[in-house]
Amino acid sequence: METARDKAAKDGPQDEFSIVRHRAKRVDAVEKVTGRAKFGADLYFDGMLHARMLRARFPHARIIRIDASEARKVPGVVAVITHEDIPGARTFGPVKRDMPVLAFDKTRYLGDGVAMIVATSLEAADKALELVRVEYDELPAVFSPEEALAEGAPVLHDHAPGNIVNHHKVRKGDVDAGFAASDVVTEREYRTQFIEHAYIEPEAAVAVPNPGEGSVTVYGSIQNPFTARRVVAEVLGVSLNKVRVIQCAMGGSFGGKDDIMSCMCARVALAALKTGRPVKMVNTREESIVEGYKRHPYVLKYKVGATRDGKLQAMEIRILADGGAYASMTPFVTWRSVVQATGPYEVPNVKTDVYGVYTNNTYAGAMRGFGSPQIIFAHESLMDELAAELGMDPLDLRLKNGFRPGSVTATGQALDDHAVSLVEVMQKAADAIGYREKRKAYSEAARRAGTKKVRGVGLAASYRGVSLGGEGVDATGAIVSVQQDGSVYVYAGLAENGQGLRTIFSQIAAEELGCNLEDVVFMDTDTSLIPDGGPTVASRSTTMGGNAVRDAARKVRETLLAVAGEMLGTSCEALKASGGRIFVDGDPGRSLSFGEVARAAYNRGELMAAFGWYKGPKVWWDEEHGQGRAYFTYVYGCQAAEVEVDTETGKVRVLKVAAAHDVGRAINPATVEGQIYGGVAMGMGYGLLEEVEMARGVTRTRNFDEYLIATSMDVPEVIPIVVENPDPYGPYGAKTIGEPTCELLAPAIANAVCHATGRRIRELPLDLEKVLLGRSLKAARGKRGSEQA
Amino acid sequence: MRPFSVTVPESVDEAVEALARWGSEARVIAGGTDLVVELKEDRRSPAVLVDISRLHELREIRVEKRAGARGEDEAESVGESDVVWVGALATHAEVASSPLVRAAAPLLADACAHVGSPQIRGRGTIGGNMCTASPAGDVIPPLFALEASVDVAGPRGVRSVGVESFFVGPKRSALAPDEIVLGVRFRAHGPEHVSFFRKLGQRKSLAISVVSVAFAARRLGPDTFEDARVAFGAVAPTVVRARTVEKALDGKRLDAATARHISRLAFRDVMPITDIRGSQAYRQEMACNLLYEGLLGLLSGNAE
Repeated sequence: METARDKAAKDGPQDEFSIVRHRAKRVDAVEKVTGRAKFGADLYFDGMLHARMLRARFPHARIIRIDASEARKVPGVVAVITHEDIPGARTFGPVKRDMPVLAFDKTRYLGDGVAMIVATSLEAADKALELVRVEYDELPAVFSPEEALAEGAPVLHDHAPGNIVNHHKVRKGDVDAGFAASDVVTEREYRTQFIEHAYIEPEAAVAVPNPGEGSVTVYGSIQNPFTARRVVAEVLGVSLNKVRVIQCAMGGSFGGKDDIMSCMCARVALAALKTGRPVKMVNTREESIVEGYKRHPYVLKYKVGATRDGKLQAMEIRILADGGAYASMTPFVTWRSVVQATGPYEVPNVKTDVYGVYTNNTYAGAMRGFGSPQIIFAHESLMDELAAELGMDPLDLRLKNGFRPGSVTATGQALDDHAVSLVEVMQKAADAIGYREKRKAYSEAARRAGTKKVRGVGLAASYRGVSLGGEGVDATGAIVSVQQDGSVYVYAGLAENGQGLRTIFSQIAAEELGCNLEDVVFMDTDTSLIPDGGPTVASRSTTMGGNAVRDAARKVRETLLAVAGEMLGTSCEALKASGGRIFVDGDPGRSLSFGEVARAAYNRGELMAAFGWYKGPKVWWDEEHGQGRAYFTYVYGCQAAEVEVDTETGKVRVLKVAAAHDVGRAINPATVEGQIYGGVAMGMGYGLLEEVEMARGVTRTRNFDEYLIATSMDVPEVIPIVVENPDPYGPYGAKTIGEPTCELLAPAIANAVCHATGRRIRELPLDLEKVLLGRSLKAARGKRGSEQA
Repeated sequence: MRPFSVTVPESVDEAVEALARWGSEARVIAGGTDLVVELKEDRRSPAVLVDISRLHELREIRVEKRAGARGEDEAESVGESDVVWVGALATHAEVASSPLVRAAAPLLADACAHVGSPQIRGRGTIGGNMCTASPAGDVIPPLFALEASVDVAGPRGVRSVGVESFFVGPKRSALAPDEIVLGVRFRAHGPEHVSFFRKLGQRKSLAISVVSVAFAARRLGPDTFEDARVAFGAVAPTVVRARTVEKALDGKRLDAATARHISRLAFRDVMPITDIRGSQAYRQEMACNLLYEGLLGLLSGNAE
């Protein structure tokens, strides 16, 4: 903690910043609101063809034969592409290479692509789709982790005979001894649902062949251009430098445009090389929901022991994650779960097992939260349940066990080099919602008979590892290039996904250079212009990329200050750069404009561009014992909710949410608040509304009439509380905000509903029936065709 | 979506002619909020769309027939038992904000205000909602409670159909392929009428009803009603009248307990199915509870 403060002091107090820490307008706001931003589906090239996918007919089947002869005869059809047309790798995947670009031996879920029609019009392609004859041998299938793990269950992948994707564990102390030392032992099971990212823009990609270089350029709605490039190159069987990936404006991603976009990019690239023409593919919303990966449903069994005064003694946790048909990010998602499964509490004895399991459901992968929303729903529901058993207030129980400076996590990591602010965020959120008073007042009100509408308050807290942690290489780069008129380009290896990265990186560049924010242009991410800086995931952009931009900008500033020093006849140490001027500190009369200095530097032949790089601090992980320094730093958050429950209908109205998040330092308080508002809306959907319903592998909720996200009418008043405890590693002390905001509200609502009604609901979402009846009756559902409306 | 041609008639006669010419190959389009979705999903592939959006006379909302003589200055007002006509092309937004409908049939205005989202209310029409004939269509229960009749034009001229006979099954109406809906008519409510529309959905906007209920009656005393008409949406293959409930309500003095008891009788009148929005058992329960909540709101010393 001392180090964090020291570092912050070195970075200077707040009033020394002129751009960072200010509520700068988003640099891409105008192009987005005026509709000028170009998305993947907006692109058009001369001679461009359209591609459409034929998807699997059975969730699990062997492919005997694909006959496209009739489809090829349809006027306008230029090519029908199957696995036989793939020159390179037929499969891809971030951890296990188990996902086919085009199915060849088997189909394992209904989103698998079997054949691709490439035609001069979508109409011709659609017509041809109906004429492709695929002969299948249908196989028995599994639709839940329990089924998949049963003795003699059908096997999806030869490499995984037990259908297990991975097994992560954490072992600390002796849980048996811990339970023996406990006065109260509580066991509970919680369940979460499949969740759709629900980005506003469905997937789109266009590939343009470059015959001269024997290569291809792919544009699209791509979260991770470097990942997409690697997959395209492997599938085409070419080296990385033959593939150029350029990211278009993104209509949202939330972790959802990774694997599916790598696959789509590979498909259109194949089609472009086969036909020699540009090829575009755009998913409909229904295709997007059927094909796209989801947030994992978890089954979570928690056993917790505590002494009568509320001190936690042991936790034993067993989690099954439905990974669906392919491994995708399941090994990493479940790794974050295993690290954080006990929540932000000191637990001396821990035994956690998390299994990722293959099923014939839609595969699950990265989604905002990445393995945290599920475990937080469980451990934060559990804390309230334990508090009830102990006769304690749930907040007091959390305060008693919550991490403090120097606490040791379940994985044996001492939290001793950053500000451990759990208590601070809990108290701030609780105060803002009026937790203590309402907890008491509503309990009394509920005792009065005959009240149709009852109110409650509840909260949930978490800690979260910043960036990739033990997942792997954690480094990224940026280029800052000053032009002779003082205008600036910034390039980065991380990409704008809608989260505001362009603005944050531009602010950091402008802050360091001393130019104006308006002088900075952030360039689209292009894999041919900048080294591979890893994926834009894990809320790592500000911390990692921010440091890289800062590094690059500081190098250029040194050059410019040296030139300015010569021009002003002083040493560069005496100079300051701010607000578009470079001046003698304490004597602002002696100054030059940023542009004047840039021109002079250019005329002197100085290098005015620099490459910045940041490699994350060391982390380590012992997979065998589940111990290690899992992440180099952590953030702490708490959200509190006030709800009103209609006891006649089960309808939950969220009245107010207070969200306190330690972000280290807010580079842009307005975009931090934006992340909080968005995360709260998403967390509310997770808690009350959203569920991708799958019936024997068939996605029933295929559009937004049935997959319900919170509308602007539903989102309540949100009180964002931005807590700043500068971190020793982040730029200006900044840490993370993207994901923590969406992981807390579901359990806070569940706890508030329980406070209001006395009914504990252990399965998400808390829809009308579950709140009213305590269970869902929808299990025995009819087919879509028999629906009423 | 399959290719189709569009014809834009300038009169009702032209529209009927076009339908007669194309028969089952044609579909009428008004607001398009339901049809365009079906076209995109290839659930319907008509060869011709008959776009009736230029038939401006079908957009009118007016008093069709006055029940009694009144002075000039009252021409724009509506009195009890006046007959109100709402054209099929009136949008949900127009019906919801019409002073005439708000006065003569507030439950219909309320229902229209709760359809979909502002965009859907701005485009979707009351006639379209009827032609889609979804048992969850929000406009339909109020029309049942108003005992409205539907004017339909076809090659054989104009006919009037009672609203209950108009709906024959889930997404099926009595409309022949060569007919179009012109509008609906109903008797205006007067000062002694009470009514409500309630709908239960998962969220506040863009919510398809899990259950809806429309109620209309004449107040006899503070807690006594006659001529009660109760209609439920989304609990049967079509919107249904709850006649057991209606009979039990007639002339009965209500308090919270009797209102609860009578509302439970709705169990006998509804036959919901289980679908993605709700289970059969939950819907049955909710039909009763929504009605109960509504009735409670009408009572003099209501518990709320």
